[in-house]
Amino acid sequence: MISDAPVCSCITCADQGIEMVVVACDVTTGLAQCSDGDRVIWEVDTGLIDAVTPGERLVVHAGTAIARLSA
Amino acid sequence: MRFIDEFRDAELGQAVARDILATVEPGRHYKIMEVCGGHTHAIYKYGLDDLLPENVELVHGPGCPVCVIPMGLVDDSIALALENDVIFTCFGDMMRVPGSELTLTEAKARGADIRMVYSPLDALRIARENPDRQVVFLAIGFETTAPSTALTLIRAKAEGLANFSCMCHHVLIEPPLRALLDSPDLTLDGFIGPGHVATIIGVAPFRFIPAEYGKPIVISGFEPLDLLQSIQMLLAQLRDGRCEAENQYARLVPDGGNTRALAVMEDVFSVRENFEWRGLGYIPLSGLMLSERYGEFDAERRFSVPGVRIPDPQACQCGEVLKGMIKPWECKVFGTGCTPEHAIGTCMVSPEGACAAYYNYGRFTRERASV
Repeated sequence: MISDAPVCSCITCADQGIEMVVVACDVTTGLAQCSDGDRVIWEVDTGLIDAVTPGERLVVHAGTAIARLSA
Repeated sequence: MRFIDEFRDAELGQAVARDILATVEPGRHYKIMEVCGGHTHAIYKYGLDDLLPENVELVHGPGCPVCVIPMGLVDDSIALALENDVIFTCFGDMMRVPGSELTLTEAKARGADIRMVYSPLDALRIARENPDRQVVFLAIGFETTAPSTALTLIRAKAEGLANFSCMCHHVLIEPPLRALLDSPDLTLDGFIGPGHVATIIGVAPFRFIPAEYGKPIVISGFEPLDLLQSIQMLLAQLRDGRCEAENQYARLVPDGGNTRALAVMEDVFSVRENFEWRGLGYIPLSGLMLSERYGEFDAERRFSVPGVRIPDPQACQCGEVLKGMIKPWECKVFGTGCTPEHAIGTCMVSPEGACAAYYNYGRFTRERASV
């Protein structure tokens, strides 16, 4: 599920996705700093999608962005 | 929040519920399986089954990766953690899955260094910070989670991290669906398909369901309106005599999936000949292990793992719940011997498990109805 309250959901589930906003990104490592609905900052692997820029919305599962929500 | 609020609009939900009512044929019973534990959780959390006509029955499938973990794998994990002085890392819900004697939480209380992580990247960071210790990551989950493990192993290989390894028990969605569809016990009219698994693998891998088994499927998102619309689309297929794989979750799911994710999975994993599922038994070609290219990171090669096989507890009816043969509350130990605080079966452990979802949300509706 896309969740705005990740702590209430199963972090192991095959199908949980958390909507996050890109705050900063490092193109050399492919890692981004992303903020969730509670404004907690997470390190996110962006290796599965095209390069991200701050402000973009991603669907994150198990620390990896699996899709972007906004063009 | 954008992409969430608009899919929780109560008035629109009532409108779709009216569409559903207008779509069903009176006197016909519809049995629909939601494959994914995330859908089960959302259905109970938002009370969506209360909005459906009485002749539309939702049954819960095997799509919660914690729920399908056999007891033997928990025992193997505990043995590895206790006997090898490693830092053993896993997702939080695995900590409470019962083994034959202990959970990982209880093994931690007995001195094993077991740590909960939120992602494989967390486990990799622990390995970097503890170069004198071996760090093992227990990788479970369907195709949604597997690419995350794959990317982490690619990083570990690039960094030459010799103290990191992975106990790989990822699973694939198609084989258990085939096993369910081949079961003579099962009478289903259609499927609600897992949206984020489909984000990775696309829609095409689900087309065998209508093509070979004559059952429609709609790939669905996870918000209340997503699920209601998916149910309406499925019922419309049945009304019109169509049988297709439709994509309700098109805002996220491309038809061909995520090609990068599929490529890294192909590189890092190979398919196991056989894999044990709780309640479903051994299903050929349904699990993933590390490929030869990443064999150096395979914890089962690096350490001695007993390979324990234990039958499910007799009191537990997780298997029948996972196959949709009984409802959670029809299990003999539901809510009495088995609760989220003291789970016997895996379906009660994960919040996305059918029993826990029903225990946390749905039972209150039934209790009100029975007063």
